[in-house]
Amino acid sequence: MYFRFLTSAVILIACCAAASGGPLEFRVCVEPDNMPFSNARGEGFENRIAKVVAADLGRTLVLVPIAQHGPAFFRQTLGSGRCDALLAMPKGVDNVLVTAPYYKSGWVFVTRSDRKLDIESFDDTRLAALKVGVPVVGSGPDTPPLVALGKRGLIGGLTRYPISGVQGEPVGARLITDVREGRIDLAVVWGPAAGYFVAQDDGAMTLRFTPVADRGVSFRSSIGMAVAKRNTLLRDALNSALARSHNEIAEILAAYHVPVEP
Amino acid sequence: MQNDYRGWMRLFSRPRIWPAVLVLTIAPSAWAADATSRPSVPAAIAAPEDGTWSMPAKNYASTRYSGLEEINRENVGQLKVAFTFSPGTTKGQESAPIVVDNTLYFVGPYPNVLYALDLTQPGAPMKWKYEPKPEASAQGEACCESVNRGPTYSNGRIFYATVDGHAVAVDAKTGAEAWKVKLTDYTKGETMTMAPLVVKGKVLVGNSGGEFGVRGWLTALDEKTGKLVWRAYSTGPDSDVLIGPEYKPFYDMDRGKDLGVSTWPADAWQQGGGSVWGWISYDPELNLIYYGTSNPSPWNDSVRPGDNKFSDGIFARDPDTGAAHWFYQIGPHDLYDHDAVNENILLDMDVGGKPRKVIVRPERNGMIYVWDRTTGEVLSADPYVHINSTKGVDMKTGRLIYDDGKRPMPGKVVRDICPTAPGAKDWNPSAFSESTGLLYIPHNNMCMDWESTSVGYIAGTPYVGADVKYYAGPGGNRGEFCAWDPVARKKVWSIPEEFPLWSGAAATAGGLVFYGTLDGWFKAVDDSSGKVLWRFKTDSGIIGQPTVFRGPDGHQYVAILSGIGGWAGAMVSNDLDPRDATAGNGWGSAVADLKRRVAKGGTLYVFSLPH
Repeated sequence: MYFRFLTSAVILIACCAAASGGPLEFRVCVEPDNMPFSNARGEGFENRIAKVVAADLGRTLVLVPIAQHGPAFFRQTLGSGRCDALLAMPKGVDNVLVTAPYYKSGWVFVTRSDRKLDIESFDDTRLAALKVGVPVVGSGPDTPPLVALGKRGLIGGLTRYPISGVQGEPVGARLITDVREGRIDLAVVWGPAAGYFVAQDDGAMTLRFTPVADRGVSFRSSIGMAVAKRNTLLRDALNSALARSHNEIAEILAAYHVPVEP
Repeated sequence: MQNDYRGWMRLFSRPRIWPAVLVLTIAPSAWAADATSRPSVPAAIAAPEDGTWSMPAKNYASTRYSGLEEINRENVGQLKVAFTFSPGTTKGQESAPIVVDNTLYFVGPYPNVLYALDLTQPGAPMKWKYEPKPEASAQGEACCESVNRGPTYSNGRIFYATVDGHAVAVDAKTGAEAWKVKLTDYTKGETMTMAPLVVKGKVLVGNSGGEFGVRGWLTALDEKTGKLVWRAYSTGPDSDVLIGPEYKPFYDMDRGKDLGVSTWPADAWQQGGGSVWGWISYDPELNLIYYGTSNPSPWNDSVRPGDNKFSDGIFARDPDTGAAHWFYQIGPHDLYDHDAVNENILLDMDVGGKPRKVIVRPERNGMIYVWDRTTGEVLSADPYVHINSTKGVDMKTGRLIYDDGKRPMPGKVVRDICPTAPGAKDWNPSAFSESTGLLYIPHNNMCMDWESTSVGYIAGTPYVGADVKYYAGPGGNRGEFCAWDPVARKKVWSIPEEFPLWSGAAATAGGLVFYGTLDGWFKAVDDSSGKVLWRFKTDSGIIGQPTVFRGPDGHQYVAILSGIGGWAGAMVSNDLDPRDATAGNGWGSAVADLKRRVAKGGTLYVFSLPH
């Protein structure tokens, strides 16, 4: 056991010294204003998970605040050596190495509890008469709920909430606020972005998982950390650290009301 | 008349030993025949060549043609670098260098510094620079790099737009800021990249950011104060679009009340795109400006059933009030991100034997359109590249006919879509030669495969991405530079280019056309034959706009900015990974070899004959 730990530590010194210029740091690029995931002050659940992992690795956590913009994002972060890792990376994203997942979540329906809208499927006939808010990217097929609603032509009551190109209030906060204040009847939100804000409303809001998949589009994602494509050493070290930190991570996710699936 | 004379001379300039007597004898009849069929610049815009280049398009007709002829087919081989200037940036340089009062001005990409170079001094040293200091975080908001398409000049001032959404006016002599006005909130993805046009004391400028769901507009600012005179939105109720009693579109599809609302589901028009980031022309006689609008938002068209007006079309407006006179939708319910913002070349020419006032424009969808600019009627729409995504324009209804087999849809794989999303030709402007009557078009020759299989990620939220791959179209060349006869409606000659073309063109009375390539060659070609007569390898790739001017020494100069970047060149300027075919929204595979050919850079080159 002792021997194995030593080996991984040595490897880490080699890999991270090269990547970040300092042997004792674990540099993580984070969105500066994206609660509950992260902010520049280190208050998000991803910030705290990074801290736990850094401690396990015996490294000092350095947060590098950088907002995700444009196609050069991976090059400007992992590629340039500005940071060693990115958090909240869905499995399947190209151009980076994603660690073993440390949680799995899904898209959720959020309504006001007093509306008693127990919607659990995009085939629910009540959807046609509701004002529905979903996050949008703007390019490609877009977010899973936008695709699901678009395929059914359920767009009469659709309100789009841009994720990209917007600074300030995170998309989850905007969606939940609008549900609470009745501007929309229903929000379809990525689970972690919803749970934190719903919990703040003390029962006034209800959150339900969407179906696992809808017409061939998955509504679940396994989330890991991302490292540069060639950095298998760090990926392996992080996998070990994440496994060792499993319980602490679970506590953090619970504290931020992240809806997790087994 | 003067122009026609020069054109006639050109007809006989090739056999250089022709006896003068014979030329004079044949001349009148040949000239007459030629003059009736050759398109010309509208009389209200035509002006004697004064040696300046005061706006990116050269004139209100957007011909990008200089009457200077010191540099010509015979001597262009001796063209040499007269001076250079490096702005020290490494992103895409799309700016046109403009020249007024013996001073050359250009704007770089972020941080959008405006440089003035003193042409009266040896080596054209810097006279002053103006730093608008745009917000650094605005850079990432521009979809396709924080480029700038250039400054423009009017009444002693230089006007341009900054990436963080300001319009600025700077004293042309001193570089002192006259005014600076914030027009957009870049934190909502609303940036500015276009070159403004000044018409009748108003600075016309629009917004960028269609892909982020901004609501597009064109704004007129008082040239003296920067105060807003009018703003015309591209979506929403008629009162916002400035549609009133003057609005008389040619086709039924563009007629009706509040189409900017009713052709969208619910309130989708509020995030409908239709931004205005391309080119504007102006006809002083009709007192109309012409400009295009960008693609509708979002890309996933299933959530925006309807024609999505007034995206992807061309507006004619009164510059004094902004009132719309007509609109023609080039791409009703756009499927391909085909912004309709390209250059509008205003010509007077015979169509079907009748003189017409027209707009000619090579469109992103692969066709060259000719409109009657009085009414908005489509007079012709002819393919200039291989097209299979559409089947042309229904000349009765004016509607573009899509091929449903090529329609990209979530969960589907669609191969061999021609042209690509950047289209047969993007923003980079063509030139019209008043000597030959031909249009010179720098463009792409590419097709694409589309499949929705990738996993995307923005700020912690996963989404369904698209794998888009561009590749060379028929012939295997990814780019082409062609000469197009707008009267005969056919290609006269073409030069296959290895890489897609992302630079503009300029034509001259010396029988030459200039353009640049992504791998850094600046070329001069014979306007009649397409023969490359001279070329020069610059320090980086070229996505800029050539301009031509007469220096204080009386000699002719040609200017171009090198500097790879923009949508096509971001592989190099943003260090994207060429192994990732989808990097740079599809350009990864298309220009994977570009990184092995050119590096980042950015330098102004000015050429002249040895003297």
